[in-house]
Formats: sequence, structure tokens, C-alpha cells
Amino acid sequence: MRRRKFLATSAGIPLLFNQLPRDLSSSRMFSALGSEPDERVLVLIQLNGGNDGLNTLVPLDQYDNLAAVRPTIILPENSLLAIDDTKALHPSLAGFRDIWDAGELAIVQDVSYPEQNRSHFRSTDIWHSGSESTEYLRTGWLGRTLDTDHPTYPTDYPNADFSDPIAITVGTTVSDTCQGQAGNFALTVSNPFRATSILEGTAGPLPSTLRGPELDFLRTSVSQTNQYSAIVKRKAEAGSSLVDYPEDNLLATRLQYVAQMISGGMQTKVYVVSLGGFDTHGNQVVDGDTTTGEHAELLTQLAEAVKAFQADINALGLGERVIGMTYSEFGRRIRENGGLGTDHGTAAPMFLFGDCVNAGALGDNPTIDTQVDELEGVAMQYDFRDVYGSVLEDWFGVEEHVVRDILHNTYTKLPVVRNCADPISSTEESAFAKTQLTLAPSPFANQAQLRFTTKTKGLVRLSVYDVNGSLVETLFERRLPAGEQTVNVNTRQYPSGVIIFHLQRGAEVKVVRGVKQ
Amino acid sequence: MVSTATITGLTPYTGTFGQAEANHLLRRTTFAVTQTRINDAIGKGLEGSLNELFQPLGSFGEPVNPYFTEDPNVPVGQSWVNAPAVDGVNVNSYRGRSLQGYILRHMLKGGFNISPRMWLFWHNHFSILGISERRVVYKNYKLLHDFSLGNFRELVKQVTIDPSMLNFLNGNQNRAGNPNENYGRELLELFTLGKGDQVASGDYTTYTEDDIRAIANALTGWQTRYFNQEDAALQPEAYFNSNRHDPAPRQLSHRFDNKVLTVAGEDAYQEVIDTIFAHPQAAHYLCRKLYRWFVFYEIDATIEADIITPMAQALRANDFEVAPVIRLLLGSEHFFDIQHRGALIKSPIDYVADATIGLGFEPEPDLIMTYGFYRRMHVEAAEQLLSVDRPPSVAGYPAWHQAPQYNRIWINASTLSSKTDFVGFVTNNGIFHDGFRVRPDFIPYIAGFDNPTDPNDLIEEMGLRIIGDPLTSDQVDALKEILIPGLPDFEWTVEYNNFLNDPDDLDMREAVSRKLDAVVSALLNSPEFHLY
Repeated sequence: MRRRKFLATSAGIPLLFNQLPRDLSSSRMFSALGSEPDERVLVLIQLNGGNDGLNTLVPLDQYDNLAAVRPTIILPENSLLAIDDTKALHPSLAGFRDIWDAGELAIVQDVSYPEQNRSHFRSTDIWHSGSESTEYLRTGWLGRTLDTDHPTYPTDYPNADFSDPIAITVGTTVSDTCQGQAGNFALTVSNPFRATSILEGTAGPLPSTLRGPELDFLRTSVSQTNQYSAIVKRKAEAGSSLVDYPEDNLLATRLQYVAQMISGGMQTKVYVVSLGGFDTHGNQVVDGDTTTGEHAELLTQLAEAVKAFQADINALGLGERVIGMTYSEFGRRIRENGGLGTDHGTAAPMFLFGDCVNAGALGDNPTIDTQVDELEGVAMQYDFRDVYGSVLEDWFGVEEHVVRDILHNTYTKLPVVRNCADPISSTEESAFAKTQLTLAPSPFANQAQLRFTTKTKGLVRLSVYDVNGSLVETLFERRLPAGEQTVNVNTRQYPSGVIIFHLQRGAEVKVVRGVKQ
Repeated sequence: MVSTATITGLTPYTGTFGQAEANHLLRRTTFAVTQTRINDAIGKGLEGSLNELFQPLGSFGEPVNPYFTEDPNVPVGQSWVNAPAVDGVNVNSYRGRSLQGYILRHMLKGGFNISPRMWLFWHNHFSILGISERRVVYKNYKLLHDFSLGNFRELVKQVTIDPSMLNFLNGNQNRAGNPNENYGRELLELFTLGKGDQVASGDYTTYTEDDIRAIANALTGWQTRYFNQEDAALQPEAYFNSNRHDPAPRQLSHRFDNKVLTVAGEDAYQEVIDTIFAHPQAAHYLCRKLYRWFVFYEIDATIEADIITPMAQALRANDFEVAPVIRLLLGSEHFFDIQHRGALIKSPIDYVADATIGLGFEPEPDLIMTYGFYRRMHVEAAEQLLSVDRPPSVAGYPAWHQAPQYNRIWINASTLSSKTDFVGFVTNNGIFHDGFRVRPDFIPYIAGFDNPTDPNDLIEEMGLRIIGDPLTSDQVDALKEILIPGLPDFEWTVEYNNFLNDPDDLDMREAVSRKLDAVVSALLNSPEFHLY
């Protein structure tokens, strides 16, 4: 069923969404997918610390401006790994470039959320819970999804129907993404080949004080660990790994464990791994040699590990069952901080990989202005919950209304997962055609005018953000007819400084930046 | 899971102070609690026990070179805390290990004193990682130790210009024209005010993004120097470089009553910290952390109003001296409420402490064993997710701040495996490290019991000491099945008496010893042992 490898030979350039977007409302993607939703696996890779998206995926058409605002950390243009005319990867991401060339890499540009929060901890909580930035959920986005299938978990798990861990964190700490109402779905596995049997003690009534629930948690943890770790060990030993992974790369070792567990027949749906160190306030690059430094080392580890894993998954014949996705709590500022680093920012790209991801890059390049405010991060194009929701809907077969319940009401599906059985994604003309969203005048005072063209009628949302990535207002969300559109905006109440206008129709986003005087 | 404790504000506790109460107080405030210490506390009463807890802690000396023979400036057995780097020799490696062992010894051998647990509190509060120059890591350790029961505001001032912190949060790269806001952000979010809801763009209720920038600006100019220098005259240090300082006045937001920071130069940071501590939330944030540390992790609206707010008032009334407010909490009805007893999951340091020193180990006859044992304790605690050498992030350990799991984060399949392996070492293989090995012997441990010849009394007392709570009769029966499987009670009495009559008979000693190992192992593995 591997029928789409010809993509790799088509001039090495996969289809781009913004050239050939698809109509999402007209097709359910699952009917002919190569694997059943029950068999599918998601591998999440957390990049802890806030990855610098602009030095990860470099907008070539903005290079000179980027160099002007990042004089000491800009990567030399001739070192970059171009993936098309306008985008290039960090030189340490050769592994990603290879996956891209094989048609197995999808990039979603500039992902974030409204009301950007620049605290690591709060922002990580938001990404893990999939909450509004104004609400505090104690469950994770995957935990809530798994709760719908396993409402009684962890009571009586494992059982005859679900003998394997529902989710696994490979490492030493459990992932908050898998926190459900009553328990965390992820078993923490530091080494699947090691199974320790733990004495379970003597059951008995639980005290009615606060000690009761804690003791119950401990008893369940011990019992589940014993039951699951024996199963995990047996299945990992039955599994295999067919390629060489890089040495001295903990992420690679952990992804190899994942490949071994999946190929050994585990029914686990989610694996979470992480790579830390992306909080590059300083020493992001080496002075005068910007292709080296902490960020380069991290990206090398990431790309080499993912490349080996993807090769292994393909060699094991599991390509149609496994996709992976990276995320980080925020991107970094556009302007460097003068200390060979960058401070906490807003949006950054997400990467999805696998045989069944919709290869290509979704979204436009960010616009870099040389007069960029010190506070300015990359403006959001896509809401991370739309990426999550699309994975839930198109990969795990979760119904759209359930996705809305789990994530957010204004969920919009993005084409990040494709029908594996189809050689090419279905295509339709762009709803926005090739025109840009334009703003006049800029700078503006109390009035501004936006213009854009819609080729077909459809639901369009126009929102306004400030320099911190916070939502100022949503101007409208309504169905527009086909044709040229002009919107006059009363900007009197807007904060002075940088203002971002964000236009979305389905999976297409246009962003324009202006300055309020 | 909201506490249903009877809220009594901070009304002083006036009830019984017996085994259960002394056990609760000591386990929450000290490490490696033994029955001897509990008896001591019962004898002193609550007031006397609190007095004892807050005594100044005796010195542990300085960390020494335990084994390394290639540092020409530091012979084995001598302190390295002022010794320079050496060309071509990695001295930071042995010094790092020495410091790990030193800190674990400080925790595990702190005795009847609250200071070690408060050191761990501050270590979690001001988490620093990734500093290779061990002299400044020791300086940071010493700072938190010296201020463990000191003034919170002064501590924040010292931490702000601490060389490790300047290095870790890029304060040393924070300069006029190119402010690095890393430290300024965490100073507000994690160290002092805490972050409230984001109520408007860049406004986190307690402070704003603009405040972070203004404060970062005020802190410009601080640098570090002489890290890893081979010249003993050039000790690593923080210093102020006025060329890199931005002296302009700095406007704070309405969250600070629109105050303008006007002090320029070397003392600008003092004005910053004093201003932050004038903020109404400065005391609340720390008090919530102290509450979670000593009582329980859930804080509902009632606890916020009836416990946290009076604690914050007390902290402010005492000009941010922490000892009085901690003492107020520990002496309260609320602290001793039955709801909270044995309801927290132990940290890895509590776990390794209770499973070794708490069982009467005395591994200190010489330098190499002292170092090796405590260094091994560090390695074990690190496997269970608490490495004092490498906390997971600037926010400290998730178990001490991450809702909804909190302390439960210490427990997962990976850490449970590590803990079980560790119990295997304690009760079977022995603990070994860097050339020494100690196998615990539980024969002397039970010699001081009330009635060790009776298997029921023996197990009940073992349970009470190790778990801290009486065993159920089912638990006693299950453990007896391990001690004397399928045998009548008198068989233990016979075996144990035979041993007592001929204590030099190795066969008898070994037979009794193996049985005790098995019972201790079962107790250390029981779910109840994880609670305190």
C-alpha cells in the first residue's frame, strides 16, 4: 500500500497546501485509509523550553530583514537547507530535509493560541491541556479524548479488552497530555526491557481522610505497574528494530524503544517523548559560528532521531500506522536579545512526520519587519488546538462534535493527516486565490482598511492581535460571497504599536502586520 | 479532593501530643525519623519540640575531596571550596560528586532540626542547574543553608546577585540596550509574586510584561567572572559593571501603583526587590508554597481565606522573617488535623532517608564510606526524580507545583521500579558505592523493641516505626506469613531465643537476619511506606 513514493521524484518538491489546498468539508478521509483508527499510533515529541522557530524554519524571502534584526544569531544563507523557493531548514535539520524529500514531513507554520502567555509553565500547561488560555483545565487533551473511550479508567485496567497501557511516556516523568479525569493514561517506561515486580502490600479499607485517595492511588499504581510492565517487556522483546539509530542520543534511544514496542504488537495509541534545552536566552549560537551552539546541537539530536525512527517504522512495514508530531510551549522573539540568544515569544512551526501526514507546508511565511518591536514574537497563523483536533479527527477517527467538546468550539480542521491510500490529496482552488491580505494605511491612526479576495463563498473569521500575541478583538466571523472584499476597521481603541490582522477561512490563513500610531 | 478539615484558622493546637502527633510533626519537618527522636519529642511536648526544631543547626564543615588524587591543591580529606581549577585536570567532576554526597548527608543527618527541610524548600524555590564551576554551586548551597530560616526578602536580594543564578538565568548577559529578561520574568513569576490570571494583554494580575522589562532593565550591569580560573587569587564572583548598566528611571505598571524605579547603579536591584516586596501578593505566594510543603497540596477558597491569608499577614508583620510563620503553622490545630496525617507522598529524599538512616544505619566510620554512602543516596534519589544537582527546571520539581497530581508525580512505573530496586539493595544485596559496601543488619534494630520475641508484637512495632502508622490485623498476618510462613507463632520465639542464647552462631544469626530482611523489604515496598 505504499503508493506515493513518486512524490520523492517529482523534483523533490512536495505539494504545498497553499498552492493546492483541498476542500475539507467535502470528504471524510477515513473510508479508504490504509489502517483502521484503532490501530493507529501517535508519537508526540515535546521540545521543552520554547523552540526558536525562525532559526528552525527560515523564511528565505525575509532573510535580509531577519539578518538585520538578528545580526549575531542569523544562520549564513549558504548554510541553510532549502526545501522550496521560500523556506529553508536549519543546517542541523538534514534529517528533516530527507524526510521532506521523501514526502513524509508536514509543517504547520506559526502555531500558537490567542492570548499568548509567555510563562514556560503556564504556556506548557495550555499546550498540554488544550485549554483556552483563560481557563484552567486539570486534564490533558489526549486524556480527555481517552476518557471518552475509557470512562472508568483506571479502575479494572488492564483488562481482557485492554491488556496494554493506553498510552506510554518513554522517560522518567509522566506526560500531562495524558491526564484524564480519574488518572493519567500514560505508563512511564524508562526502559521497556526492564520489568520489576513490586510487592503489592495488603489491601484494606481506605481511610476517610485525605490519606485515602493517596493510598488508593499508590495501590493502583503498584498494581498497574506490575501488570503493565510484564506485558510491555514481553511485547518489546517480541518486537524488532531494523535500522541503526544514532548513538549518544537519548531521544533516539527512546524512539527506538517506541518502534520496538509498536512492532512487538502493543496496542498503545500514544507515545510521548521529550527533548529539553530549547530555552535559549543565551548561547543559542556560538559567537561568530552561528551554525553551532546549543540550538544546533538540539536540532541535530531531534532530526537524527526522527529520521532513524521514521526509517525504522517504514522498514518494519508500520508506515500506515504511525505518525509523529513535535510541539513546544512557544516560539521566541523575532529580534535577538543581544546575548547570543532570544527571549520568550509567540508562534513557531509544528512538524508532523510519517507516511500518512499531508506532506508540505501549511501557511505563509511570517513577515519580518526591520522595525520589529523588541516584544514582538512571530504572529500566530494557526491555533494549536486546530492541529490537535485535526489529528484526533483524521487520525483517530474522533467525531467532529466530540473534538469540539474536547478542544474548542471554533475548531477548524486543518489538512495535516491525509488518506494514506490516496497517492495525491484531492485539490481545489484556494479560497483566497493568490491575493494577499492588504492593509492601508500603515502606520494607521483611528481608521484602517483591509482588502482581500475570496474565490468562493465561505465562512471567514477576521481577528486582531497585539504585540504580545494577545487577541484584541474578533472583527467578524461570517459567510462571505465570492469576490473582492473591503473591510473598514475602527482602530481607535487599539493599543498603539504593532497590530496583527488575522484572516482565516478553513485551513487558509492570511496575516498582515501594521502599526497603530 | 478538597480538604474537609475543620478550619480553625491558625488556632494553636492544644490537644494530646503523643506518638501519632510527634510522628506527624517530625516526619513533616525532619528527615529519617527514628523512634528515638519521636520519644524525644514526646518528652519535650509540642512547644519544646518546636523550640528544638528551630534551633540553629550545627555546622557540617565544608565538603572535602573524598578520593581524587590529581588535584595538586586539594589533598584527599581537604576542603576544595576555595581551590582553583587545574590545567588539564577535570576537578569539577570530583567536586560535584563530593557536593552531592555532602548535601545528602546534610539532609539525612540533620537530626531534630527543620533547617535541612527548609534548605530543600529553597532549593526547589530557587532551582538552578547546569553550573559546572563547583565553587559557586557550593556558594549557592551555603546561601540557601544560611537563609534556610532567615529573611525571605534578604534572601531574594542575595539570590539576585548570586553568581550561579546570574549565570543560570542569563543575568550576566543583561545589559543596557540589550536587556535579557530571563531572570526578571522568573523573579516575578516563580520567586516572589507568582503569576495570576492573564486579564489583559501582557497583564498577569500581579504584574505585567512591561514590569518584567522595566525590572530587567534595572538589573542590567551585573556580571560574573573568574569561573574555572587556575589562579587561586581569582575566585569566581559576581560583580557590577556600570558600563553595562542602564541608569534611566523605570516606570512600573498600575500593578505596582505606577511606581517609578529611580535608583541607578549597583544598588538598583535593592530598590527592585524592596518594591516587589511592597506588593500585596508578595507574602501570599510564598505562604501557599509553605502550606503545600508542610500540610497538603490542595488549597481551596476556605484554606486560602482562613489559613493562607493569616499566614501572609504574619509573614508581613514579621518583615518577611520566615521562621515565625512556619512555627505558627506547625503549632496550629489545622496542621495536626487528622485529615492531613500521612496524606502526602514522600519525596525521593524522604524515601531514601527513611529506608536507611531511619532504620538505624550509621555508615560513617571513615571518609570514603561517608562520602560513598551519601553520594549513593544522591544517585538513588536522582533515579527517583530528585537530583539536587540537576533539578528539572527553574520552576523546581513538578511534584511541588504541578496540579492536579502534585506529590503523586513522584510515583510512576519508572520510579516504582527504581524504588523497588533500591529496597532490594537495602534489604538484600547491600548498598555499595566507589569501593565500599554496607549491608544493613536489622538484628540490632529490633533489639530495642518492646517485645521482639513475640512475632505479633515484633511486626506491629516494626510497622509502626517504618510506616509511621499502626498496621491492620490483615497486614500483620500477611507479614507474619513472610516471617514464619505456615508456622505457629512460637516458632519465631524459639528461633529468636536460640539466636539470643548463641549470638555468635553464624547460622542462627543468618537465619534470623534473612527473615527480618524479608519483613523490612515488604514494609518498605508497601504502598503505606510512600506516605508521610
